[in-house]
Amino acid sequence: MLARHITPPKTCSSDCYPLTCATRGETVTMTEIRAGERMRHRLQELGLNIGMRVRIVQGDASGTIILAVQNDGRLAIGRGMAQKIMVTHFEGNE
Amino acid sequence: MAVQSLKIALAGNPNVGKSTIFNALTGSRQHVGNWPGKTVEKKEGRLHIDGQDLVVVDLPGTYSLTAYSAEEIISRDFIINEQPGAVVAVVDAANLERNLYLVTQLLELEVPVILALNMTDIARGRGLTIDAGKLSKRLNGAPVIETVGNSGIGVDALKAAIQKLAEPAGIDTVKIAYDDALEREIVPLTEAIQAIPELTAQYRPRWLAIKLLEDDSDITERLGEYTALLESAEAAAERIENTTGEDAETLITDGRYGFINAIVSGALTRPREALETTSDKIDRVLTHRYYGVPIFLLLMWVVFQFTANVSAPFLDWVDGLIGGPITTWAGSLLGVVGLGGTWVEALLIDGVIAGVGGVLVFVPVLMSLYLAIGVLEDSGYMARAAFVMDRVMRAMGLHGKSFLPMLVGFGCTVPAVYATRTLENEDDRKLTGFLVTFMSCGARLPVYVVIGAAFFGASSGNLIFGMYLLGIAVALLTGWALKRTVYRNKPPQPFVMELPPYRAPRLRDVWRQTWERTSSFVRKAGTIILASSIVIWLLMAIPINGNGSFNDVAPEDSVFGTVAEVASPVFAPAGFGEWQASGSLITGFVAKEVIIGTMSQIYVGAADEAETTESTPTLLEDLSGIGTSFIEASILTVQEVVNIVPRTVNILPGINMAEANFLGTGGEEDDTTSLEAALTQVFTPLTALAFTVFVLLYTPCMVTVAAMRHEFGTRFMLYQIAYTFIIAWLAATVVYQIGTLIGWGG
Repeated sequence: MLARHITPPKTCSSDCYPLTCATRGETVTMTEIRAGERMRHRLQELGLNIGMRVRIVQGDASGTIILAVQNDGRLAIGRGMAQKIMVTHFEGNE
Repeated sequence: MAVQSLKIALAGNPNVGKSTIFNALTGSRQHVGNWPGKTVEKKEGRLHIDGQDLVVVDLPGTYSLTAYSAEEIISRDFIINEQPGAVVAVVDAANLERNLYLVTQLLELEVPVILALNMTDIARGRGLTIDAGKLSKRLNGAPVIETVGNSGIGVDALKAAIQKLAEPAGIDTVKIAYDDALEREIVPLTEAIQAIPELTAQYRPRWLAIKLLEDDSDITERLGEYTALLESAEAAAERIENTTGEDAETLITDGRYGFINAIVSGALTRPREALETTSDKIDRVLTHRYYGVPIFLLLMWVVFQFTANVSAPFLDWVDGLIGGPITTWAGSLLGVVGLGGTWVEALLIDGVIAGVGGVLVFVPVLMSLYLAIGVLEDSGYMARAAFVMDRVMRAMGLHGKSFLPMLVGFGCTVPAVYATRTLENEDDRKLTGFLVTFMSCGARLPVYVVIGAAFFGASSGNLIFGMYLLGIAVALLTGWALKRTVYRNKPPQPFVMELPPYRAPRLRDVWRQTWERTSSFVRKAGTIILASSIVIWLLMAIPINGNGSFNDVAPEDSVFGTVAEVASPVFAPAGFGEWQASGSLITGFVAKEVIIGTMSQIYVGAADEAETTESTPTLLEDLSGIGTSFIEASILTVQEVVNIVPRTVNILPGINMAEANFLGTGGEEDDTTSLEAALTQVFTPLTALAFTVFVLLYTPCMVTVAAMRHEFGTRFMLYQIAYTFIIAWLAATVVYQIGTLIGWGG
């Protein structure tokens, strides 16, 4: 088997926070996925890629989060995973 | 390529209406639902276009063609090995970009692709406009067809496109160009592969090169012997990472999305989005942090009320039909041909009619259950159930997605075992496979219904609900225990799942699915249950002890009775140490429905001499009786549907809402069946409860066991058999012993 690499976290400015800290209705831009290659790949296939904008449809401090991805799709994402997705606030309308 | 019947594959993300398109193309009735992960094995159907015979293969719904789950490997192996003439990529028009991700991978496999833009009605409803012509042009002329699967729109155009592609015209699939840093490595790697004839015979070189750079585990394993190639791929991946600072896999994914953006831009316009759709509003309630789980439980409670009570009048009707007219007709028919009173009559009436009939009685029950589950599935709620249960599951160290196979298990354990394939992680999959047998399947329901009606009267709905809850609880506890022992140190996979939008359940789909599931139950009654009924009758007719002769032997002296007698002490601590109970449990291994069939044979078949029909009614009386009792049953059913409301409200303490009573009868008075009456002679409420618990938990039927072996191996299967038996025995014993201790139901 080939060695698996985890890319070192890219620099993230101070206004960068995990998805779990975003509020309902907020639109954010994904800046980084701090997960293993495998999971990152899975997210990418589902449309959660770096640079992509997602809106938090539902979510609270304790549970799973529902995201609006590419406008129409709805993804439920576990808290553990959401913690590893770093986002920045996105101003303005889509 | 060979000119035998050409194969066409259907591929697409989960829940994009692929099965609906498959049905529209082939006319076959495949289960269509509204939640991800139904199609776990590929299905085949036939399509005739202008005398040409095509085989259409419905591949499992996947988001991608990587090696991360069994389904994806099934799909891509099919495309690589079977070389279908074309792949129809069914995409959700309302979710175009993400759906196209799979399409990029199909294009890389260099198969001719037809794009079916499905659910265009929904997309249009949301104000999206898609220029199919532009899309097609950008895909090098690959046909792009707008379809609405469930109303058949675009299906003819799709067929025409398939026919056109099926002619070997040499379609030039569009090539996805990657970042320069990637292409610099892809090109030499492709050339290296082209130099190995064994590989080019099977794989497209460029596709293989990309897979090697992606470090696809399945491919690197299969190509294990080509060490030089693997090493150069590894070196290439390292160079890419050094020059770009990104790993090759990420760059390839980016490249695919870049390609998608280029294709879509200008061809797709969407309006400014409404911030909150109706689905979102519904979700705010149904998936709420606090209300979510109670609402789920409440819905399940309603489902089982519906199942238990609404179907009961029809159950009695079918029972009366089988026990009354059909039995007497069969008897007089045999009398006419001169076989009355012979062993043939005994075989037919005590064996076949009592056994198979005893099972067929439950058709209305199962139909109600499947109808209710079908409505929940089709509405989109089932995916939310997994979402809501994720937190509960996670507390047990399980994955929220594990709940979907478990929900399938409420219908039948066999598809539930296969549904575990939607889990990406092998350990999660095995663990879930271990648990699904505790989810009470439809075949176990008759036992609860009979025992509930015999011992618990109006609260039999609660008994049934309780059994389902107990099954879930045992499954969760087992998961919790296994996660801390066998599967220790293996963190659960993160939960990511797509939620389909809610929609009003479509009657046609719900009905089709209910019908399909029920008819498979009826088919089973005609085959496996018929066979085992005859075998059991024979075993009960052959004497082994005492001085009986064939067909004239006390049941306990027959072969069956003797074997059951030997096994029965095992169950004595649980309170049902009679040979009848152990005998029906043994036969239950064939299929759970047989438990009730066997009981009917033992208890009713033996006791029917006592209650010979008072005065044989004429055929005409029989027929009119069937008619009036059917109408009565229909009225009672409506009454029970109405009564779900007060019964649900009455769960709240302090409220007592009156229930409807249309026929003005006392309700449950004289509608106990002969089996129920016989059971009250043998069981006490407590032993009946212990017996029910045992039936819920014990070793699954042989079809399930075979599926387990197929999916997880022999050792796993043996563990499963032993574990379920022990757990069931322990639970039943605990129920009986505690019940005795507190002096209940003795």
